[in-house]
Order: sequence, then C-alpha cells, then structure tokens
Amino acid sequence: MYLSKQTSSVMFQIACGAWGLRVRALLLALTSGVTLAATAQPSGQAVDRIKAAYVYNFAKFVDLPAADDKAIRVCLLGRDDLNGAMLGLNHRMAQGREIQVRKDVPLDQIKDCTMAFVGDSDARILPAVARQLSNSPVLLVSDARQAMDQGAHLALIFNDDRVEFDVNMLNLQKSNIKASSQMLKLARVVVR
Amino acid sequence: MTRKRKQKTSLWRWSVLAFAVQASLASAAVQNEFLDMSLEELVDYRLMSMSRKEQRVADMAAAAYVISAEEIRRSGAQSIPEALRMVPGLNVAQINRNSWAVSSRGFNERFSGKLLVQVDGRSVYSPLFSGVLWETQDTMMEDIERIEVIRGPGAALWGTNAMNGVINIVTRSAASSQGNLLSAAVGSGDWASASLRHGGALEQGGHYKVYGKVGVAGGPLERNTGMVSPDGSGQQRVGVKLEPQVDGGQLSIKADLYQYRSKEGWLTPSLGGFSDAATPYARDALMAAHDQGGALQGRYAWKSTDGAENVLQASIDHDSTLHRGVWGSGVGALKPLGQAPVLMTMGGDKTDIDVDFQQRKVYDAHDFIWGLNLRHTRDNLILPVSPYYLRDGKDQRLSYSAFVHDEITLVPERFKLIVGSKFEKDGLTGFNVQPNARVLYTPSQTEAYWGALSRSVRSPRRTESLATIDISAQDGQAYLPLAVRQGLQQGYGTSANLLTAVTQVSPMAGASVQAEQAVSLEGGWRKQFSNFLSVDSSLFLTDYSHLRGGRLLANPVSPLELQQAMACLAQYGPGVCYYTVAGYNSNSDKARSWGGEVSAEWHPYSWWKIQPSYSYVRIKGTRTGDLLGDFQIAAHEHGSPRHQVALNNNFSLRHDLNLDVRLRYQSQTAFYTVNAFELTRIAPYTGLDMRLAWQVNRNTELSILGRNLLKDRHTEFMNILPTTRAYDVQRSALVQVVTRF
Repeated sequence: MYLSKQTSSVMFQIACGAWGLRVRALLLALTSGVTLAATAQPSGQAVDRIKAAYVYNFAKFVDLPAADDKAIRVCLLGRDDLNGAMLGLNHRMAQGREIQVRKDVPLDQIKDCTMAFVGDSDARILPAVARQLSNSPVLLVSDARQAMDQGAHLALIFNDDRVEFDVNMLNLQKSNIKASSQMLKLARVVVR
Repeated sequence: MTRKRKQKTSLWRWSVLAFAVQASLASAAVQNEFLDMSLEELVDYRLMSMSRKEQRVADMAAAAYVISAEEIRRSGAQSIPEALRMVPGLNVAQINRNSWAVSSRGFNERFSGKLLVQVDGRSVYSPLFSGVLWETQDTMMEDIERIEVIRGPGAALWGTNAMNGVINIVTRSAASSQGNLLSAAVGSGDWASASLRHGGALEQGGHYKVYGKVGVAGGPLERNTGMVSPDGSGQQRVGVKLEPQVDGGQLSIKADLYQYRSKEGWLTPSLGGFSDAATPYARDALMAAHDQGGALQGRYAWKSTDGAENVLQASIDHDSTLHRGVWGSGVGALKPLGQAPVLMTMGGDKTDIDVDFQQRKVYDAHDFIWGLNLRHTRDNLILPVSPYYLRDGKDQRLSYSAFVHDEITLVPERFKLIVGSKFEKDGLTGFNVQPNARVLYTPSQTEAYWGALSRSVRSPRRTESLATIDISAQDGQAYLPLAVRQGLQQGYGTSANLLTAVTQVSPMAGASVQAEQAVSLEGGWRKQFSNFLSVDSSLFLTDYSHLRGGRLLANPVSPLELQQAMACLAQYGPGVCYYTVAGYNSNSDKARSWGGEVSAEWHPYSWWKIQPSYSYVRIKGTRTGDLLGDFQIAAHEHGSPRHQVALNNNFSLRHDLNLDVRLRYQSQTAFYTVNAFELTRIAPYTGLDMRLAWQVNRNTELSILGRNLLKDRHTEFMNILPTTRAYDVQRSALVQVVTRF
C-alpha cells in the first residue's frame, strides 16, 4: 500500500507548517536580540554529542589552571566542532566555573585556552597544535585516530558502538595537569 | 609585572574573539541529552546502527532491540540463535544440537524467508533453501560486539526479505580485540567447542585480528524413539580482520572461511516399494552433509568536505552445501514405473558479489540518507531427482536497488517524520517498491511513541517456485474407480498397497515468479520511568498477499495416467508403479497477522536485574477450500507459538560471582509431518537455563551452564519442507573457561 496523494499532500502541509513556524521563531529571535535558537536546530549525530559530553566531563574531572575570570575556555581548533555539539557546552558550569567555547581559535592564541579540542577531520593540524602548546598547562583533547601518539592528553575513541577514552599520563605530567583518579579508572588505556 | 600585563592583553584579545563567534554560537546551541550523563554512564553507553547510522534505541521509530557483548557473555550462549532467545518477541526454536528455526512475528520455518540476517552488513543465507543455515553461522561468540534486532519490516532500508524482521550481527573491530583470548567449553551430549583470537597492531599503523573456532557435537535424541541419532556434526572456522590506518577515512577488510560436516536424516515421501518397513510411503535418507564457504568483505567510511558521511562496502562470498546419500522418492522419468533411490549428491552452491554505497547528509531539519546497491548472484542447484527436482539448476541474475531515507525534525525534540523507500529490481521477481513512513513523538527525553506504515516484499526461493516437489505419497487405491478396485481385489486378493499416489506440485508452464507482499501497520511506546525501570512495547498488524503455496489442478488425477499405472502394475507387480495427484505452485494465498510485544527492565537492587517480557502473535489465513492451499495456510497458522513469556534474572552475588536465571515459556505449536494431513501437536514447554560464573581474576572467567533444566527432553520444532527427522532437545550442562593473555 502506498501513501495516497492526499496523505502525502497533508504531510507536506504539516512539514511546511513547521517550516513556517521555524522562520517566524528565527525572525523573532533576530528582532528581539534573543539568541536562544536551540529550539530550531536538529541535534548532531549521537556520537558527536557523546564526545562533547566527554569533554564536559573532562572539564569536571581534570584540575584545570584558572585565569583571572575563572572561566574554562574551551578552544576549537580547525573547523571540526563535532557538527555543532561542542558549542552546546557554552555557558555550562564545571567545578564552579563557567565554560566558554570559542571557535576558529588561531594557533598563536591557544596558550590562552584552558582546554583545546582538535576534531578528527582536522587531525593533520594536531602535531602543530601540540608543538605550539609544548608543555603549557592547556588540556589537549582530540578524537583523531592517532591522537595519543601526536601529543594529545586525552583521546576519544569510537569503536564499534561506544565511545571510550584514553589518557596519556606522560603528557599530562609534562604539562603539569592533574586528572582525578576516578577518571583514570574509567579510561580504556592509560599510557604511563 | 610583565607577566600580568601579558595576561590582560590576552584577555582583551579573547573578548574580541568571543564577540566574533557569538553569532555562530547562538544558532548552533544544541540540546544534548548526554551532557547530563556521568563519565561512568558515557563509558557504558552503546549505540546501534540499524537505521544505517548510529542511533540510540530510544530514538528509533521501530521495535528495536540490542543484545550487547556483555549480555551474550552473561547468558552463556554458545550460538547466535541461543543469544537471540534473549530478544523479546523473537521465536527461537531448537531443532537439534546445532540447527535452529528463528523467526520474528510468526511464520517460523527452518529457513525463515521473511527474516533478513546480516553479519557486519553482509546478508547471509544458504544456497539450497535461501534461508539462514544457522549451523554454519557459528562465529566465535566472544567476537560478537552486539546483535541488533528489528522486529517488523525493515525493507525500506534493507530491501527484499526484510519483511518481518532484520537481524544484524556486528563483530568486534580489530582495534578493540587486541591481545589474545581463548575460550574453551565442554558439555553433555559429546559437545565441545574451542576458539582462539589474537589481535595486534599493524606496522604501518592500524590493527588486525585473526581468529579460529572448532566445535563438535554428538547426535541428538530422536523424538519418536528416544534413541541417540547418528547425526553428529563438526565445524571449523577461521577469520581475519584488518583495519589499516588510512588518511581521511576508516578502512576495514574482513575474510572468513568455514566448513561444517554433519549427518542429517531427511524424511521423504516415497513409492510403496521403496519405503522403509516401519513407515509406509516414506523413507528416511541419512545424508552426509558438507557445507563450506567463505567471504571477503571490504568497507571504507569517509567524510566528504561538505560534511557528508559516506560508506562504501563491497563483498564477495561463496557457499556450497552438498548432501550425499541414497536419495529419491522413486518418482522420475520412467513414469509410471518408479526408480529405486540410489547413492547420489544433491545440494548447490552460490556466489554473490555485492557492492553497496550510502551517503548521509544532515542539514537543517533533515537527516538524509541515500544509497545504491548492486548484487550479482550466480548459483547452481543440484536437485537431480524428486522429491525435490529442479531441471535448470544453473542460474545467474543481477539485482540492483536504490533507497532514500529522510528523518525530518518537524518540532525539535518532540516530533519527527521519517519517510523513505527502497526501489529494487530483483533478478527473480522484477521491480519492487518498498516504502515506509514513520513518526516519532517524544514528549520527554525519557518517553517515546512511534508509529509506522510499511510495505515490504519477499522474493521466493527458486526451490519454492521453480522446482517440482513431491508433497506426499499414499496408497493409490483411493483414486481408483470402484470397478477397478474390485478387479484388483480379485486378481491380488487385496486392492491396497499396489499402486502409489504421489501428490506433486510443479511450476506452471510460463508462469512468472511473483514476490510475496506485506503491508504492516505498527505502533510502539517506550518509557524510562527512572534509572531502575524502563518499559518497551509494540503492536502490529500485517496483511500478507501473494503468499507462496500450492493448488491442486481441477482434475488432479488424469484417467490416462491411471490406465498407464494399471498397465505398469500388470507388468512389474505391486509397489513400484505410481500416478500423480497434480498440483502447481501458486502465489495467491492471503493471511493476516497481528500481535504485540512488551518487555521491561527493572533493577530492584543494585545486585539484581530482572527482564520480563511477553509476546503474542496470531496468524489467520484465508481458506480457499483447496487441499494444498489450506494445508500451507494451516502450517503458517500453527508453526509459531501464540504466546511467549520470558523472565531473565541477573544476580551479582559478589563482585566476582554472577548468577543468571532465565525462564522461558512458549505455548503450543503444531506441524505437519511427512504424508500426514493431520497436524502433529507439540506441547507447550517451559525452559529453565542457569549460569554461574566466577571471575577468577581480571583475565579469566570460569562458568557452568545448565540448559533446559526442568525436563529431561522436549520437542521445540519439527521441520517440514525439507522434512528432517524430529528431534528432542535434552537437558544439558557445560563448563566454560574464557581467558585473556
């Protein structure tokens, strides 16, 4: 049995109706200056959202050096923001500090960040980022496949059906960053 | 001082930067339910890929269920069908030690054609009956990452044969199979199995793994005699998976080889003169079966610069199944004189080449996937004599298809519409469109309602539509005119057991093969009440049409044939002459099925998890008054249990001690046996399985498993077409050790 022409046209109208609503919501948001557009955004891929949730948890469990304003600055290098999932961390609180997510951060400014994230599609800039950071106390997280070998402190690995994380203790110690023992227990691999 | 100043400038730069990206930030703030999960929960969180993308089960607009590696381990399942027993609503029936009948939502057969089974996305089926020969899908259980099951149609994404369900068995990646693993088990009934896996890193980057598995099993108990039958079996399997590091994407290459040897008793109708003494008009042929095959499969996944996700998969696989023994019903070219069964080989082989591409794009409210598939099948069926006779055994055909699938978010976080269709040109049945429309309503993050309307088709097997099959054989006096019978009475002293009447269906000349069709309406509700209690339920109604079956001809016995048979009888004597009661393969039966499944998961205590489930399925066919047609309808109606109940308990007794107690009940079923026009009823049964596992240390687990503990033996299934011996499933026990090193 196929969808009759009538049903499909009704469905089309429903879809159009929803679109109309979206456009109006957007206009409203623009005119009133309210930037609460979360309502009209399709959620990114579940894997990306899970990875972002990991980064959020890292912000809670890693002892991160604080700047004057106490904010946790999460810098995204390259273009990969996990399909927007990383931006969902903005203004969230971790360890009593506000997270500020910044996109397109130039290489020469990453030492101002608290955490830096390099996505898999920008894996080629990872060595340069690691070099730039050298041993600065900036937590470098990546979901690139070779992240552990290329200087990241924490790597996110998507295998089969779940996302896990690896910890490079050597790099953490060099950068003088401390991760909670509770977190280390849950890691897939801890490089010591 | 300098240091402080530097920090101030950096702060200033920071705020400029912050301002610059404000706009993009605002529009892209995404609701992320995972942000509220703890690190522990994230590490344990599993996704499924059944909708051709990674997705949470809770977000699926279908009756989906996933068995994780952990659940398989805890159940002690030694085969895939055994693991499938954990899925609420699937009917899993054990035929003998290694062979199984698995179906979803009714229509259970040993070669369940309405269920699509895939291993890592590659469809698996045996050449001879085009169903899954579960005994040859005996992969290493520890190597299975998860088993994804959809009850109900999945044809809009997966195509032909995904009519009542899709099962996808996903094996572990090489990256997560590093190191060595040994698993060995021995059990009652001369059963033993051992497997070994080794995983390592490739020199040029990436990972690999290799594995092997061997197993033997003694013969099962015969239902009628209670004797151990000589149908023992043995199997070997090796495989390798490579995941080399490549720039810009993920590549995996997989190869498998297997062989399986067994003895199988086939019961066939036969002429009176060739039948076994104990079973008139039937004979039991003990065939030595040899199955072997292999598959090579490559998969490359990459992201395009525009953010689209692409997957290209190609595979080539070859399977062959050969049965050797004294075979035949006696019906043949010398009609009306029968031919004595002789030692011969039957079976077949097939080679499939399959290329599949899919692309996924997410933009605005759309999550869009499309794909193309090309499949070339070459097969050679060796069915030289009746009861299963196929004249043109060799065949090759090309099937190609495309699908589109769009998940449209109508109201963010609340309401989704999913539309999609498969367009398929099947080499056997022609062009088929298989669309579906689904809606998903999520009033909250912990609750979902869904509904779906889908059309799906099943492509019949060549053995079903193009072969000549002897359905039954009986005493030929029934169709003889009274005067003739009286004449025989005078000549032979009896009119019984002189001639044989063979009921035979054959393809109509020039008839085209038509696909079976189904239209399904489904709905479901899922709710997570708390971290400790969740419920999942679904209802379905399916209308089937063009079901394959048989019809008798208007005048099934021709007077000329009767005359010839009488002449033959006069010349060759009783027992070896026959005439046919002629029928033909039809495509016109209709049936309706309805039912539902409900399951819950409850953690009353941290050490106790309990999963009750209940499922109901009812099939009602349209009776036509035709003997063969109604015969098939009755087989459909009774082949699957109406009620199934399962209660799985998991107790963590100590940190290193685990107890699993699983109870399952199925209501009665009934099957035809060879030459019978009455159904044989199989009593309802309750099975109890228990497993106690001790984690000796971090790397080693020792376990004992008891299966079917309540009864010495019981029957779960009887096989018709092909009719094999009826076996019983016995109480059994096994011990197993799994160690990593």
